[in-house]
Amino acid sequence: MFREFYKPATAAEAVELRRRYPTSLYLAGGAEVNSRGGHARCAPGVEVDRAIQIAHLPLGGVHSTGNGVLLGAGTVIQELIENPEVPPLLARAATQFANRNIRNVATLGGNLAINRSCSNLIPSLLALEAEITLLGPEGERAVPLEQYVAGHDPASLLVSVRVPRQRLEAPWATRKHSRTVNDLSIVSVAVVHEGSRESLRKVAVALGGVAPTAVRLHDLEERLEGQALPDRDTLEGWVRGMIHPIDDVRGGAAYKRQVGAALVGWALHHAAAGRGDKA
Amino acid sequence: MKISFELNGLKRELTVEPGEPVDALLRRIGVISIRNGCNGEGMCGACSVLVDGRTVNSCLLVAAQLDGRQVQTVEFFSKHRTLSVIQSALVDTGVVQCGYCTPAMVVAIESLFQRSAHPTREQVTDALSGIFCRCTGYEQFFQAVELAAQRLADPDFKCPPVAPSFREEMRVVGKPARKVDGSKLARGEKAFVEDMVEPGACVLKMVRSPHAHAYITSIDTSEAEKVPGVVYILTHQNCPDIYYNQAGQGFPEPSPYDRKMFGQKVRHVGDRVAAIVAETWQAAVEAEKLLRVEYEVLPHVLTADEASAPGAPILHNSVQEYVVGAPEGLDEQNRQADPRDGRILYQFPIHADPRRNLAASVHGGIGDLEKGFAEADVILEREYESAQVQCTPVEPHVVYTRMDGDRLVIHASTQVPWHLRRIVARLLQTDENHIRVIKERVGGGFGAKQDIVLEEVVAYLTWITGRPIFQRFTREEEFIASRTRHVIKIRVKLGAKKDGTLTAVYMGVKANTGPYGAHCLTVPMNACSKSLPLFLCPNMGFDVHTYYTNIAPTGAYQGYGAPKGSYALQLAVAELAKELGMDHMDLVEKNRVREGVMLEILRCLGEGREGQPEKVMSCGLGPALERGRELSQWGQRVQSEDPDWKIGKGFAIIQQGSGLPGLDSANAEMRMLSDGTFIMLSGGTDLGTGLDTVSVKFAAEILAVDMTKISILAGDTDVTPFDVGAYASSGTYFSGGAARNAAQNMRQRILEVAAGLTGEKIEDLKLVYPAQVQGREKTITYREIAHFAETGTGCGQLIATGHFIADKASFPYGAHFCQVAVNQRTGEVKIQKYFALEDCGTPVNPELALGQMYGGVLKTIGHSMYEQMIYGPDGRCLNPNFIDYKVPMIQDLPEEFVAELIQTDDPYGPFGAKSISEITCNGAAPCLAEAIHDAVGVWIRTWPFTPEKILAALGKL
Repeated sequence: MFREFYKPATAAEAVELRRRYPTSLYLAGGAEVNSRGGHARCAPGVEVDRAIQIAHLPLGGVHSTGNGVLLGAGTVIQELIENPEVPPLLARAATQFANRNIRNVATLGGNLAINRSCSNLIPSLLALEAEITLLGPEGERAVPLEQYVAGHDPASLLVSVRVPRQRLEAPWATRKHSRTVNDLSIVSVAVVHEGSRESLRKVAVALGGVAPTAVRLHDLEERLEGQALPDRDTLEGWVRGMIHPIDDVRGGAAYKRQVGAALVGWALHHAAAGRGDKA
Repeated sequence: MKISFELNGLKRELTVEPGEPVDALLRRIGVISIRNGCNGEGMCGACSVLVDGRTVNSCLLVAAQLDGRQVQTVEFFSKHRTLSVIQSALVDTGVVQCGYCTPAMVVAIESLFQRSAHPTREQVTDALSGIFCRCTGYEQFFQAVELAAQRLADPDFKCPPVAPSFREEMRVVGKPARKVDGSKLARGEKAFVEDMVEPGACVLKMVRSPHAHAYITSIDTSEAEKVPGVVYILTHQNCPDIYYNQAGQGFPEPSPYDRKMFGQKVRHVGDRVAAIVAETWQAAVEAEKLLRVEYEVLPHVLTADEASAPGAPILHNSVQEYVVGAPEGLDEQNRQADPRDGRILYQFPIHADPRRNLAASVHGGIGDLEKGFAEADVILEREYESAQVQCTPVEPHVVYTRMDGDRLVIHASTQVPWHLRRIVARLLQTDENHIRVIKERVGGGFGAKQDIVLEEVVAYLTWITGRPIFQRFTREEEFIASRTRHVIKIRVKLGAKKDGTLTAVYMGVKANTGPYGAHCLTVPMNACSKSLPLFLCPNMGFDVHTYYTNIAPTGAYQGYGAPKGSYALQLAVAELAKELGMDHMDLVEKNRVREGVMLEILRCLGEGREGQPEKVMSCGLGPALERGRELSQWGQRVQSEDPDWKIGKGFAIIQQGSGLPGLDSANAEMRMLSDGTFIMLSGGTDLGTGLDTVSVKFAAEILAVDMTKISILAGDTDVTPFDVGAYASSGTYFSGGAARNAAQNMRQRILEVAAGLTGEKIEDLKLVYPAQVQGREKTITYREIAHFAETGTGCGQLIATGHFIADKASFPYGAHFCQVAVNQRTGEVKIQKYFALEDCGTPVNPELALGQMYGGVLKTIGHSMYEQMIYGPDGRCLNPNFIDYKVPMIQDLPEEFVAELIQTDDPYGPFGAKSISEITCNGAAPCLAEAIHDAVGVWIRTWPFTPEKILAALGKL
């Protein structure tokens, strides 16, 4: 539980506090770190007791720029739905995120920084080949989201997310598979591709729920580069061999593998048909 | 730290612990409308407030985050005693049932209207998407928002009827009308147990077993007792040596007395080890850490199959005693008992054999099964299994106890105030006059609150220490230490002629009651008694065996055994239809129950007593099936445009009872007040279902007054007369029946006094609306009668009592239809259409009856599709929270969801009314399972029907 609260004047000050106190966490909306009365951990077994508030820092906002769309990490999820500047794929994924009460407090940066495999926002941003800006003690650096997700660095402050322009116009699809609509995703998918159905280019396929973090299926993407879109059964067969989910309370590995494969096949066909915004 | 924020328009400056959750902070400073149903997981939304105009879960915010913000709670929206337009609309449309989530719904809708004056269905769904309601099934919220929108646009808007009306000849019965407790709940006023706790009350923290099955070899409380603020620690070492059962059933109970408050043996993860009473929660937590408990861990069993296997570990190797009917050989068995297991006291035989883990058994039948199967052209044998699901009232179990002089007062959220008083008196070894139980508003019961799962310990400790004590279950405790549906495996064997005539019907029930035997005979038996009588067949039989295991306790859950029995038998009949190549509905029509038939099978299906055959006096099954056929377009195949999705349809016929004739009993009293108005004192326990409104309506109808002329007090053991409580769908029938009888007796008193005053003959007098007695020549008002009664020369205050028992049964009937789409690649199921048609005789509160139907259906859609408690190999429940155990929210509604009431007139029920609550839980599982089969050709014979099971059945895994 948080006992000390800091309200840094700048993002750099926030980062400095985070460095100074190993039992501290950034507190944006609080949807995650305040859940269950604030028993958040910043590392296994390490209970958090210091909150570095960042909600008041100028980290929000969605801006269209010359080379894409820049999303402030402090943007609440509900704004991703309401702001027309947000890439439609991300907006669509946001509609499938929890429920309105949670979307009203949870932030984009918070969800990425928690880096759960069941986040259905991360696959969307992976498929959009988003790049994030991190602020660490050494200053700002830009890293591909995929790199951040794989080698998670919770000490740096996630400042913004940039979606490159060429992915904004590309066909896309996303879907979340869960028990109830409110539920965390068991498996979620997002795809974006360029080129055409007859000759796919720069296909990005991202899945949540089938590995410890959300992942891109690079093997599949390479196989599809320059190719015509294979039929659903072929795609399912390929994907089944490429993913290795685990058994847990929410389902067995074989089930998640089949659903992951089915969602990828669906998403690629859905995207290629230009039907991204339809369910 | 100091924070400054605006609360409901007023600037507040507070010094706070910055990490304090905002829901707790707001309650602490007096905003009691803030509820909590998930311990700050942020999953239930009961703590919703508006922060800067946006709906958020206040439990997910900490005090420091409030600084500089603007907060609005329900208190902001209703000025003084008025209701806001939105609150009025919620009460009018019947969506205020238990009322625990209502303040949250109000603020979410207020916020919605700030965004849109005429919200669409989609916007309403979105606005309420984070708020969990277990009672209403959400459907009528769309109607409420629509009504509010109309009224906001036009204050003179004439509201069309919110629900159909029934019984034209009556003024109030059968007509929509505001629920008597609706306004109070919509305003979020003090109403629930947690609102009654006084400053300085102690808390109780229950220390629970980490093991599924173990002996406690030692407990050392000495260090824990030294913690400042610790008042008392109760363990098996200092607990009274009294055995009882926690089931809130009529005495003598058909459930074994197989536990003490604390035993030396723990039988499930979460079983009681010690109760710590402390002045603060922190002290209790500190004391728990210092408690030294050692266990001898025993092997455990989690399924009835494991428990019944030879050599299985014995849960109750106890000394058995019988009040009556001890079986032979008991002494020999008792010599082998282990004293650490304690004792079991049976009030009468329930055919148990605890040394084989058999908690209870029963067998019965009519005709000749063997002959029936021999005559059959087709025999079908199948097995079906239900899952363990939890009642999940949004308000968890909660109790507040205090002494009032030498008397103990229990503020309870219970379905059974009088059983609670009886059980507590026995454990305290005192008399019932020393105990007062006040049933507060109940934030959802659904059967879990039929049992005494926390009150007795808290009551005992207040009695011992004299201290006021408050206990409130966490959501996890609600799963592991409250009540759940029995896990039941049912083998169904059907014999039929080629033309579909049933020749034999058999149900073999194997039930898992968990660690103790609450309802262990009656729930599994009910699987048969509410299923078999739906079909007419000369040869029927059943066997019931219930086993002890080490899962979390089971007990009563809305529907009792019927949802499991219905799933098995209805689905087996659907499978038989396929086998016979017949239309399922034709097969049902050929064999189903009808008005006027005698149900011989009930002869052997009494609830722990002799049963009797019953004649079906009212049965709306025919019209329900007709209407369902039309709505669902039964028999017409629907093709999906998307090849991934296949569409199918299903239906099931259902029934329940209306209380327990011969066992249940209810009482009510009416008093005429000085101005000719009335107080009704009802023993009935309104769980949010509208029972108090039913009682008032019956009296208003009989006494020819408006409902507002009758105030009701109910469920207070000091003030109101005895009632067995609200279970087995008894409310309208029994408690309502008592209210009707009290009103009829009051009418008689009024007529007698009026006759004296007017000099007319009683037979020439009648009550006429409003509040008058009319004779041939004279008319006298109730006010005049009341005045006379109270004068120094009067007859004394008019007081009348009413008692209701029944020896006849009135069964509600119904049919549920659905259409689903099943995704062949992912196993997902979308419920496209759901039609619930039910006959509850006269629907007394039509809009609330519909709400019960929507609520019961959605709950059981959850049970059928995704709800399930899951255990690890060590017997620990892996999903005792709303993150991992999913319950239906508004976004999970069927795309088209229709509940309709089929009116019949039952000759025994008050004003022709039968029950509505439980029957509604019996249709979802079988009709969804049939629809899934119709869509993709696989029968899913275990709950829940997950995508994983469907994919496995399709051979995709």
